[in-house]
Amino acid sequence: MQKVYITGSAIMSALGNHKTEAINSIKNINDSNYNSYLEHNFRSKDFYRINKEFATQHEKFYSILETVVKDAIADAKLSEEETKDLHIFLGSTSMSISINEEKNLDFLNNITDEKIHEIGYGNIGNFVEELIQTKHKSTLIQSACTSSANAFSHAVNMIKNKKIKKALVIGLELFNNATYQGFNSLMLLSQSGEYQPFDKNSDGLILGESCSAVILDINKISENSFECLSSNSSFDNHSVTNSNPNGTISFECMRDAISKADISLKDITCLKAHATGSQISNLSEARAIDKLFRHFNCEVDVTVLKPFIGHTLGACGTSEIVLLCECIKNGFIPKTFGFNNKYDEISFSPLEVTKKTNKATLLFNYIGFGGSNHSIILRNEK
Amino acid sequence: MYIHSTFKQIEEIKSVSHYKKQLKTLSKINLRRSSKFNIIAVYGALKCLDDISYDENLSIYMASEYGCTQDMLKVLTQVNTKDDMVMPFDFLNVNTNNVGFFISEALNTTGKNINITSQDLSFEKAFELAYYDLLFKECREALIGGVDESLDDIIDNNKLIHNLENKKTKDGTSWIFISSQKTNAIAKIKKLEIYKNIEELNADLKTICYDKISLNQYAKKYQSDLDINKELILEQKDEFYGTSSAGYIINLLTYNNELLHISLDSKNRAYLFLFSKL
Repeated sequence: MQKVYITGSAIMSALGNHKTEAINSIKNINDSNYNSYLEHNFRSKDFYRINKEFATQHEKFYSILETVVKDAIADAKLSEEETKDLHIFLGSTSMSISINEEKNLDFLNNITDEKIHEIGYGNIGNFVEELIQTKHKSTLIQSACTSSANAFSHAVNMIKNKKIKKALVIGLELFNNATYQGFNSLMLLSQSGEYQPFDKNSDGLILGESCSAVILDINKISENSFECLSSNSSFDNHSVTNSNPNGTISFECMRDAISKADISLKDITCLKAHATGSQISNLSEARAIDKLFRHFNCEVDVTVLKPFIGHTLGACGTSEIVLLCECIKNGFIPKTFGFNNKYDEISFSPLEVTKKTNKATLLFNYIGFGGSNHSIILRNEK
Repeated sequence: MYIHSTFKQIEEIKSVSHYKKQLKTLSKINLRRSSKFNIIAVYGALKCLDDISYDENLSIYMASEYGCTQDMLKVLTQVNTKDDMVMPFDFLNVNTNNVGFFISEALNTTGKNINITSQDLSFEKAFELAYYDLLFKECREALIGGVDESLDDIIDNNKLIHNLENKKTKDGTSWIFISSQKTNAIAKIKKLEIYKNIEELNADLKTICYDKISLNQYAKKYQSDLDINKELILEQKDEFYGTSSAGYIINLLTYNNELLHISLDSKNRAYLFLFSKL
């Protein structure tokens, strides 16, 4: 099978509007200025927002999407011809519902006769196809928080098995009232306003918006390019809002991703955990990771990126891949902010100090609202 | 790759309570506050696998062209009122992974479970993802669905969708179960190809023999450009809904021998499915 590499990437998030800005922000955030970083983001609502102003939701959605796609293509140094050969895979939970909210509000205020902007989300794929002038039909995946992770893995498998040559994988999640109020009505949002990954006092999640993209190719463009080793997917039908507290499905998902990569846990440098934020799901994943460590009789570093950008739902797949891979390329694994108190029954704690390394094998774990689990292994070391 | 069972139910718009009564005959799963979209999806998936043995690890690929439209409209009204409150179950219903959860719960499965959309070709895309996952041995069995609600009660809905013949849209739930095992199969999937344009499709059509052919709405519109035997075209019943191709393929599979389905999108990109009845 072909090897597949991440050869370009881009991200817009609360950390900044470009990848370099995001990594510099992560480097500069420390214990003494972390709260200021949150205050700068949160304004009227506890929400990690992209810091850029737009006149309308429609403009915001498509402007951000266009910028990130073009940045990723430029990062991969693709020619016009290569760009036209990209296959598009996009993952999102809420897609363009923010645009429909805006149109519907205009309708209710008698500004327009149109009750909604669009039915279905196929137009988003159309937009990207026309933007990059690709000949290929786009694939849009919705599986809650594993949406772009699933999109990523499908793209990788198609390239590995020589069905396609190159892919553009996008994760997209922008603020919308339906999602924010929905999580609020389920009482899943943090009241303390601070992400506390795997902390026994964690009181909920904090949503964030981001758009990220990666280019996948069979040829790496530098020695530092991350190779996509394996992925695995499973489903936990315990509850529509929580994972099974025993963490078994999540453990099996990670274990099987490791097995598919033909490696052992000891070969993993760092596990990027999902750490939803809600008590039950946090503990479920903590138990899953604990089981994984006991199964392999070793522990690895665990880090969580949500304290930097919030829970970006369907975009967290590609967004957290872009951020962590770039951190590694810049020589470090970021520590996990917000952690103070371990669960009594759990053996591990997330990384409490930043670690130096520029080579790593990374296990990414994602858990979706409604039961979807997904694990991905990437490496840039031999 | 083989097809083992199919199910479709495509009806004029009906109420949630109608479908809830229907589902109760099959399953005790509690969908009391769930949406019509979820209920018809679960019903279709259960009917497709009725009396069929399947792995717990079955992977599920559900396509929808329009998504859970009724729930979305409800939630939009809720967020845009003064109180700005969304009811928890309404939010959950808009989150389309909800439907994946209920299908997985009803079938008791733990395999991959995703929702797919792709303008004009949502079911075809879902079939493609499932087919390649089986081919790449990412899974052993796959259940592929096409689910969409009727949009007839949404004013001017035809301005927002591709409904070339201005047909009434139906409530539709159509499912196909496939695996790599031949035993008990009803048809073989001989070929699945994707083409960037009609010229590429026609070049391949010259090499394919078939006894019956079905077309999606765009292929029907451009049939004069297709290098096909027009006399073998299956005249489809009035069963238009968002993921109609699922229903058209299931209708096609009631015929014998070599069966061909072609779907085009608005840019004339094409999907070709060739089946051989067993």
